[in-house]
Amino acid sequence: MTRAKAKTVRETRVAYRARPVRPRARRAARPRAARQIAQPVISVSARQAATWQQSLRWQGWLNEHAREFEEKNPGQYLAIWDEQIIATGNTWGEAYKAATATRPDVIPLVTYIPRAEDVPFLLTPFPVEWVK
Amino acid sequence: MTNPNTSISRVSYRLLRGRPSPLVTVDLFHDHQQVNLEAYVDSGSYYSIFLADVAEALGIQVQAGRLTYLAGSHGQFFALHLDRVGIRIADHRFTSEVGFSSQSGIGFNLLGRYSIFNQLRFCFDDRHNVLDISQYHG
Repeated sequence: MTRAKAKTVRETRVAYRARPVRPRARRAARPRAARQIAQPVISVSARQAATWQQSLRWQGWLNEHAREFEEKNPGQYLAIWDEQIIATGNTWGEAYKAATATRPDVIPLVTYIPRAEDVPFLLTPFPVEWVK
Repeated sequence: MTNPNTSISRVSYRLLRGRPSPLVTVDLFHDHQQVNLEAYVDSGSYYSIFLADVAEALGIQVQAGRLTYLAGSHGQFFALHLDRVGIRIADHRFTSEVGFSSQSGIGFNLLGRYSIFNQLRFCFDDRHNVLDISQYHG
């Protein structure tokens, strides 16, 4: 190595060691809660909804099995998809949540199976201002 | 003058405890959420009343809606919170103000007159157990 080249190498090393060093930023810790709740979310556009023709067919199917359901599930809500019961519940929300857990890819039809005492006593609500 | 749409959707009555009843399948939309349910078409009810659970599924804060009170046929009063939602019945789409309540005491969702019957025309045919639905335009 020539003297000139050795001098250049020395100067380069000195310049490299003297370079300004930026302090390394610490990576922010990922929030643990965010990882825990990260679940696959299916947007409503990705969930299949029943067409009107399907709904009519399912209503016919419900009529055909009305007596059977009224015996087995009085006062319950049934979540229906493709002429099948995919979930039941004692409240609308219960049936809907169970159906969404079973079939997250579809929007089920949730219907009420009346008890014997329900039908004759349907409310006819009117605004309270109309009451004498 | 408004004319009803020529497109008429016909729905067969549903059997409730052996009684043919005017139930329709309704899609409700709100904030990119959608639910599909059956509702009893009740021309005697002023407001449409959906279960509070339905509001929750649609992401609606029930208590934030416009508050009104209803009186039932038995004289009882209950609170109803009104919110605007998108509705689809058959091929008919529109927005409407409907009520949500956890106190109605009935399992059914009801389609009442306010904000619904001025947009859709219902023809109850109890002789043939069918309900004809058409939409007003203009």
